[in-house]
Order: sequence, then structure tokens, then C-alpha cells
Amino acid sequence: MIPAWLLLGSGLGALCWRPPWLGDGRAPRAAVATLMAAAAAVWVGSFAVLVNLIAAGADGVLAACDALWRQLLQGNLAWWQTAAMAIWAVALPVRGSVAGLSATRRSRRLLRAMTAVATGPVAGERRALLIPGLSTPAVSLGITRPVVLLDAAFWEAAAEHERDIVIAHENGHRRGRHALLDVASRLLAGGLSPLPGAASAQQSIRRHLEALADDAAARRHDRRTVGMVIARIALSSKPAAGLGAAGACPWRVRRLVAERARPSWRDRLAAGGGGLALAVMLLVVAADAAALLGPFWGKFCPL
Amino acid sequence: MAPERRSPALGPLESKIMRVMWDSSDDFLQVRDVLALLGSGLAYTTVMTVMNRLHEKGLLRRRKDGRAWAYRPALSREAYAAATMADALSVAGDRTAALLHFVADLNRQEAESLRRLLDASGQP
Repeated sequence: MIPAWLLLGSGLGALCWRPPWLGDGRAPRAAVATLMAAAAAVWVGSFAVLVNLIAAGADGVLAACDALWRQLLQGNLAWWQTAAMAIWAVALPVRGSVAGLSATRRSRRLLRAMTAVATGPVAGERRALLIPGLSTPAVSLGITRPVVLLDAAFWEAAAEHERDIVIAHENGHRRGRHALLDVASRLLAGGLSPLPGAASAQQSIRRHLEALADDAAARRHDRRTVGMVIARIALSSKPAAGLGAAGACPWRVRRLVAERARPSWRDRLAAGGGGLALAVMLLVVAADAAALLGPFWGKFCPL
Repeated sequence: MAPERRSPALGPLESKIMRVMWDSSDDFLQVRDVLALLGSGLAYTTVMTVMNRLHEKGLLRRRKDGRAWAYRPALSREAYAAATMADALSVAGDRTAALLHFVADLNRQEAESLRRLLDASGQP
């Protein structure tokens, strides 16, 4: 019971309060991992707390699940227990699934439409297509097999190094499976949206995914050059800027152009401590489940 | 208030047919021409049904050509791409719509902030 409360509390804490290093792009990979883990901790923790409260006296989360499942099938749950479970299910899994599925469906529909419009592949690039009238210079589409779409007019007018940076950025998204992470973050945050910090955590994940793709481009070119190219393209009128809304351009350019700030020892301590605490609690809950899984496996489902 | 017109979604076969139609410039094509250009073992009636559906969706325009209908795209590739992207990016207030953009749109303050960064870096 205590690990469940701790897990829930630490997940909420990490969502609502984020140390500066988690927001300024110094460690984008750690930021994405921490925020996703925090959202997952809230899901698992809230479920474990709820189940433990309903099936009071059960030894561990899995035992409580088993007791609850049996009571549910036998119709022995009190109205408040059923209501509590239903509220949790609607608030988190149902709303999260709706958010995740709608993003997936939209992406598939858009990819199919854009593939039909494509005038051809980009020479020398795997899974990159030229699209006339894309309205944004470049975009990655598709969840499981992402495709890079490039605006034909932009591609025609861009200088060689600009093309290279744009492709490297989009390949960073593609190889890093960022679309999949984005959908996962939508699913996790979709269920938590009424909580303070959930929406901003999702925005922060998206922003750090862009930062990771920028870093992928910066491995092929000077960081400052990458920042300048992003700024120039964002300010140019071709193709018609005005169709995205991440609003992260100045932040991205600043972190690429400015001297690279390194996390202080306090940042490292806070990051390490927070991450370790979350990992330990997730492990405790997993060990609790695993220890009970053996004896319960044969009789878990009474059907 | 009239409902906002959305760019119609395309199925897999609809996508293939539209690609053939766009690749064929501005010519009116009959179903048998499209069937030949598709080059797959599709039935004539399948292609005819799908093209009729595309006409109903407003993506193809048609005229009588003898006893058969002849079709041509009602809007260009560029117009369709732009309309589809605009639709996707304006869904339910979530303008990013599961897209990972190279750049996003800028409001006035963001544009100003970027110009300052460029000026400070001595870039044109």
C-alpha cells in the first residue's frame, strides 16, 4: 500500500514540479523519459491505491486485483466500489485511449492523403517524399513506419546545407520513433488532463522531441548553423508559415545558438534522486506483482 | 451556421486513382483509361464505383463522353495537400495534430525574438 501511495505521490510531484534542467533542453532525452515515467507512475499508482482501498486487507496489489475481480464477477461489489472503478476507468484508460487512437487515426489518414499527392521520392533518401503545397517545410508522418514529407517549393529553393539540416532533423524524428513516443505521451497525458501539470508535461515532451531531432541534425552540422537555419526558415514566408503551433522555435534556436549550459551538481542530484525514486517504486510494485503472480496465476481468473 | 467543409479522406484505392488522375495533367479520362494506367488486376466496375465516389466527394469533375463518363481532378495536388494539412492542423483546437514539424508558426513576439537571435548572431 505504501509503495502505491509513494508512486502516485512521486508521479504527481514530478508532473507538477519540474526542476529547471527538465525544461530548458539541457537533457532532452532525460526530460522525455522522466515525464513519461511520471505519467506512467500516476496511472499505475492511482490504480494500485484504488484497488487497495476497495479490496482492503489484501496482501499486495495483485492480491487486491484478484479479490476485486472475483467480487466483480460474483456481483458482490458495493455501489461505491463499482462507481470508483468506473470513474477511474473512464478518467484514465478510456480518455487516454481516445486521445491516443484519434491521433493515430488522424496520422494514418493524413499520410494516405499525402502519399497520393506526392510527386516523387527525394533522391538519395529512404522514405522521404516531395509534396507540392505541403504548407510547412517538412514534417514526419506515420506512427509505425514514419515517412518524411518535404514541401516541393521549399526543397527547390533551399540551399544544400539547409536541405541537409532539414532531412537530418526529420530523420532524427523518424529513427527515434518520436511519433510513437508522441502518441504514447498523448495516451498517458490524455487520461491525466484534468491534473495540473499534465498538459504542460505533454507540451514539454513534444518540445524535447523537437530538441532531440535538432540534436540529431547538430551531429552533422555545427549547432549554431542548425539554429540559424531553423530561425531563417521559420521567419521566411515560403512555404506559408502559419500552420503549426508548437511555438517552440525561439526556444529551440536559443538552445542551439547559446553556449551549451551544462546541468549543475544540484540538477544532477535532483534528476538522479527523482529518477531513482521513481524507478525503485515502479520496481517495488512490479516485484509485488511478480511475487504474487506465481501462486495466483492458476486461479486468477475464476471463469 | 453552415458546417465547415473538410477535405475528404481517401481510401487506398482512391489514393491510387487520384494519383493517376493528377499525373495525367488536365485531361479528361474515362474509367478504362484509368484502369489501363493503374495496371493492376482490378475490375472495371470497381474502378468505376470508386471514381463515382470520388466525384461525389468533390475530388473529380465529370462530363459525358459518348455513352461513358470522363473524369478530371476538381482541384490540383497543391490545393488538396494544403486543404488536407489545414484540416489536420485545425482539429479540435489541437493544431499540432500528431505532426512533428520542422518549424511551427510564429506569433509576433516569437518572430521578434527570433529576429533578435539572428541579429545577435550577426546573420543576415
